[in-house]
Amino acid sequence: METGDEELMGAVAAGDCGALRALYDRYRARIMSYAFYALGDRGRAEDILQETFIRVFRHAGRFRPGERFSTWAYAIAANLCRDEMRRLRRRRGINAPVPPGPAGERRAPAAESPRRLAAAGEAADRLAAEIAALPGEQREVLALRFIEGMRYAEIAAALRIPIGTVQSRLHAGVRALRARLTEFR
Amino acid sequence: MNCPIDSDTIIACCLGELDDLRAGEVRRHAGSCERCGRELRAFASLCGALDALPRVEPDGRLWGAILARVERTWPLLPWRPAVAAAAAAIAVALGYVFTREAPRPPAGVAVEEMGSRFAHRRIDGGDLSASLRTYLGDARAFIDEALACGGDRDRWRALKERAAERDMVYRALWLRERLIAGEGRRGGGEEDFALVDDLLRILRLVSDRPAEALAADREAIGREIEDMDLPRRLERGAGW
Repeated sequence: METGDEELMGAVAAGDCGALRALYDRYRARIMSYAFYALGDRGRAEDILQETFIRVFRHAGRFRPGERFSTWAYAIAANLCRDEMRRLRRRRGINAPVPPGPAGERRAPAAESPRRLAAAGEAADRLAAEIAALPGEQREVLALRFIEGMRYAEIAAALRIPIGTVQSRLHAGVRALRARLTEFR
Repeated sequence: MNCPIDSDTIIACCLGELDDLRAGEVRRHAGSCERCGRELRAFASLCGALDALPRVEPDGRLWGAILARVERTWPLLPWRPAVAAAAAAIAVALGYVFTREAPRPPAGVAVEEMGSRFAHRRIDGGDLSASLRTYLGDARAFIDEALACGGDRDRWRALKERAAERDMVYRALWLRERLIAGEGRRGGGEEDFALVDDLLRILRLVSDRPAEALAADREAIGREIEDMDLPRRLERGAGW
């Protein structure tokens, strides 16, 4: 039987890097995808993933029995993503990390290979690019709802915002995407 | 024109927010109303596409970088907890004896780690401006050298060692936590934060990669530094 997250966290708190690796293998694609769609940049998403697991290791002693590891880890990743968004806003003076490209087109998320995105379908490519152009608070909610399949209460716990705010940001994000993507009109 | 269903309700239906009864009503209505039917199909199709977005995997080498950082932070494995606790107690005592006013630990860094570092490293005490000035001086030297290393692996190696010796990453994290906590200098806090945060990105890049990879990626690193405008910002920052 697979070892539970809580048990693995107990081992991590005792300094077991093998347990940290097991958690990393279990959650890496999920947290990476969340950070990727929230930030629109593969390199920055990898930085977030790395820093999240460093903090999981450092603060393992603060993890309380009965707490859900996924919510705890997403809260760390979400804080890091928000720091990164603030940093980008300061540097670029805009909310979205991906600036519009030539001729009104928006670039695909930076540093992700276009060929790789094309493999997942042109529609997914356009969709990912449009998500990257949404305001940060909508991107993070969309990523947790659609990529991670989280319930509203879980999203609210991870982002530390009210459930009503989750719902309103989700609606605003979906509405904005529909307005931008002609195939969904 | 007097349609009883608004687009928020249609979105809620597509997102699974409505109970079965209400969702049934919306679908029945959409079957007889051209506008709502079109809206429902469009939003349902969009939600389907969002659900089908691919997950993204990190680079396979990322775990190695995480492990290297964990081991650098905690070289005492597997006796870490006991030894670290003892080191922290000794270090806090030493810090008290020598400074009488130990700097408070940053929010994001383990107390044990702070303690073990206080034992042999001097971190400026309560004056954040003085800490920043010292740090920005070190950072200028670091960035200048990073731009000058070129393809010389030995120079990169020496730069990595010097950065580790001077605790560049750790000190940046410490300053950053204090700036996040709103302890920035009047008028300069936001700029300080952005500068330290950008420096941290370059420092991590240099710390986590082997000298060979840094030599090979020198142009990309140089571009990143220039893109952040670090030399000019550091020059300005040191004079604040």
